[in-house]
This record gives sequence, structure tokens and C-alpha cells, in this order.
Amino acid sequence: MSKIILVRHGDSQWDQENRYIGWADVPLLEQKDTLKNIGNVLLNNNTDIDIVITSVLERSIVSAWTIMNSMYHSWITEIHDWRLNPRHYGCIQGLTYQEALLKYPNLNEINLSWDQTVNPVTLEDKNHPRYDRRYAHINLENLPSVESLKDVYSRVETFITDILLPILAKNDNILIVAHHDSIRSILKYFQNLSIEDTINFNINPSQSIVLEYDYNTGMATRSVFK
Amino acid sequence: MAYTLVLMRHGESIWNQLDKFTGWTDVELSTKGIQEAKTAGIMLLQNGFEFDIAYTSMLDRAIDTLQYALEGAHMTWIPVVKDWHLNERHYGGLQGKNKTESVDEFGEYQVKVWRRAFAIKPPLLSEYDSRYPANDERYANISSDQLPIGESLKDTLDRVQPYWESELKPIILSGKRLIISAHGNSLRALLKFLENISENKIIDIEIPTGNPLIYELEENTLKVVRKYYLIGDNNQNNKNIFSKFKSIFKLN
Repeated sequence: MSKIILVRHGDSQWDQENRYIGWADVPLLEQKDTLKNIGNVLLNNNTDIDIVITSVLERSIVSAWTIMNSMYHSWITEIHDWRLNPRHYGCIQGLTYQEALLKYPNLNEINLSWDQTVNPVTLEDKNHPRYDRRYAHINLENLPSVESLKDVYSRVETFITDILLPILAKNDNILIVAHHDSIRSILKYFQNLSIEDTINFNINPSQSIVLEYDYNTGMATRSVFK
Repeated sequence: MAYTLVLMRHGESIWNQLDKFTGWTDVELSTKGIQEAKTAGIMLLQNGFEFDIAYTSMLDRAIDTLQYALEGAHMTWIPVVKDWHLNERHYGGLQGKNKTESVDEFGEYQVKVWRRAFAIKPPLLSEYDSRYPANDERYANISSDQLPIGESLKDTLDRVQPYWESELKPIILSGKRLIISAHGNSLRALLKFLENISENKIIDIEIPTGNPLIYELEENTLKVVRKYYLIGDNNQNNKNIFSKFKSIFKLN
């Protein structure tokens, strides 16, 4: 049975400043003990990881490297896929929660909805992902300038179909180091979470979840991290 | 327009100070090695280098060097290929032995031959040896008859060559900008193919650690147009940046 180990990236400076980060590439803070501990636990329990998958943002990649390094498995094959990115926060990326709330008094309602968004980042804005060469291979019409949770789910779903299911079919164990929104999308897919449960699901920085994948049903059950 | 290729020899490992034959043994970077790699990454960023794909060996010290450099350059997202063909020369039965111990055991002349001769193999490993590569899970997908059990420098060159021809060269020719993090001897092999260095000269070529080696290659032919170390004598600006980081990181 394949395991999917999901880890949310560690804290960045902007997490601590309560800013909307989204696709901004904010580095991880130096404090990485919790991540190292995940690597130690995987090592001590001889959990074989066959492949590591991250988003294309530094905080998820460096979190993955930290785990791999602490389990002496830096050599594992790794994939960086933009579809594991967090939600694109459009025009509020980089603002603090307070600043964003002044701009959008109904922001809590938007954030707790399935399909609402704030305004997109404009095409001319230098923060639009089209100016970032890591997204150069993506057609402009597929490249988000703002996303609802529903939008995140639909791109994560294409990632699951294209990348994850073929790996799971080989019975391999996968470590995914990603973001709150992409992780809950994966959980929704494999555990059939309702929209409401997906919206309410929370995972803290550096926290991990283990899923046992059942090839026959295509579903997964949560198990204890060890 | 020329193609750019950047080679990096991993920084100092914790065995460098112990003077042991490392080969395929997985040894971590020393604090100095980590700082060398971070500095190299910052220097690459400050000098405007961009990469499309990274290659490294299957050994921790080269992978870690690449990761610290990419982190310093804020280019962690590029695809990373890890391949055993870029591993260090396999030192067979000498692996893990101190260089003085080896002299005591095999004699000074023999050890010198193993280190300096082009085509002399070190003592080979048996399949029951814990150092035997096919017993290592990271090489599980590679058939054991492909994996070395003790290599001369010639053997290392012979295994890097097909990888250079079939994997690296086509990628460079497609216009992708590569950074390769590897080892003294696998990099010697690349230098030999790039610069047509003769067999008796290649052994004398020493590649410094933690200093990105930049090649500018002619389109289509891959002839070397220009070759230089990023931290070089004739680049005062880079020397200034380097001394700044040297003092931050307290490098020797």
C-alpha cells in the first residue's frame, strides 16, 4: 500500500508578519527543527520514500530538502510542480491581514468561501506570474492572477491525475511538501471531503499528515505519522 | 550567442580534514563547505547567472552543495537531476581508509600509484562488502553489473563519457543553461571532453572547491569560447563581494 506523506512548509518571515503570501517567493526562516524532526522520524521508522514532490516556491522546496537531508536521503528523485502552489491571492499578496481587511471589509467571507476571490493582480503588474520565468512554460490563459479555493482544487486535481496517480499505481511512497490550500485539495480528492470540510480544514506550518492509499478504491485513509 | 555551462566542485566535507579516501562514501559537508556553497550561490545571483536545469551526483556532499548554492541564488525551483554517473571516482577497498593508514598497509609506492596513475584500479570490493554499491538502496534501480566496485581515473572517465554524450550535451545544445555540481574526478572527466585534454595531463588538473567554473561554449560546436572561475584574480568586483561574504561566514 502506498503512503502519501503530506507536510506543510515551515514558517517564513511573512507568516510571522501575518501577511498574505500566496505565490510570493518568501524564503523559509532559519529555524527548521520541526522539519528536521520529521526527517528523523521517517529515518528511524525506515519509511522508504521513493519520490519527493514540492511546489515551485522556495519555502516548500527548502522544507523538503531539510527533511531529506535530516533522513540522509538527499538523493531521492524530486519534482517541483507549480500546481502544488498555494492559492494565488491576487491584489492582496504581500499585504498584512489588517491592510487587506481595510481594502476588503468582507475579506473573511471571501476567504471562507469556496469560489469567491478578491481582485486579480493586473497583467501589467510586475508581480503577475507571467513575468516570472518559472511559469514561462504555462499558457497565459492557464496562469492564475487570483484564485478561489475551488480554482486551487481544480489545478491540484490535474496534478493528481497527471503525476500522482501514475506514481501511486507503482506502489511507491510519496513525500509531498506543499501549502495549506494544495494540501487540503489533495485531502478533498483522496478523502472525498465536502466543500465545507475542505474550507474548515487547517494544517499548521511544518505539520505532517499521512495517508494510506487504497489502490482498489482510489481513496486514502489517514494514519498516524510514524 | 554562446551557451553558458557552470560547473561546481562540492565544498569541503567532514572527511577532507580526516584525509580519508571518500569515493562513493556518503559524507556530509563541513561547516566551511556549506558556507562555500552558499557564497557561490549568492555570487552567481549577483553576477546575473540564470539556470534552467541542475545536475548533480547521487552523493550527499554534491547534492547539498547544489542545494545551498541554489538557495543562495534563489533558484531552488529549477528541475534537479541526480545521477550516479556524476559520482566521484569509486575508490573500492580504499574507501573509508585514512591516507596514512593506507600507506602503512599497502606501502607508499602502491598508494601513490593508486592516486596518481591513470589506469590502475584500487582493490576491488566484493559483493559481501557493506560498501558494495548494489547493496545501497539509492542504486536499487541500476543493474549491479553497471555499478563500479573500484575505479581507476580512466574508469571514471569512461563512465562519465556516455552520460556527457547522451544526456548533458543534447541538453546544452537545446539551449538550456546548466549548473552541474559534482566531484573532483567526475568534473575532470567533463573538463577533458570540453577541452580535449590528454590523458596524461588530466591527472594534474585540480579544480578548486566552491568556486563556480564558468564555460562559455560556441553554439552547435560547443567549442570553449571562454573559461573562468567566478571568484578570480582579474575580477575585482567579485573579489570584493567574496571577501564581504567571507567575513560574514568566517571562511578561512
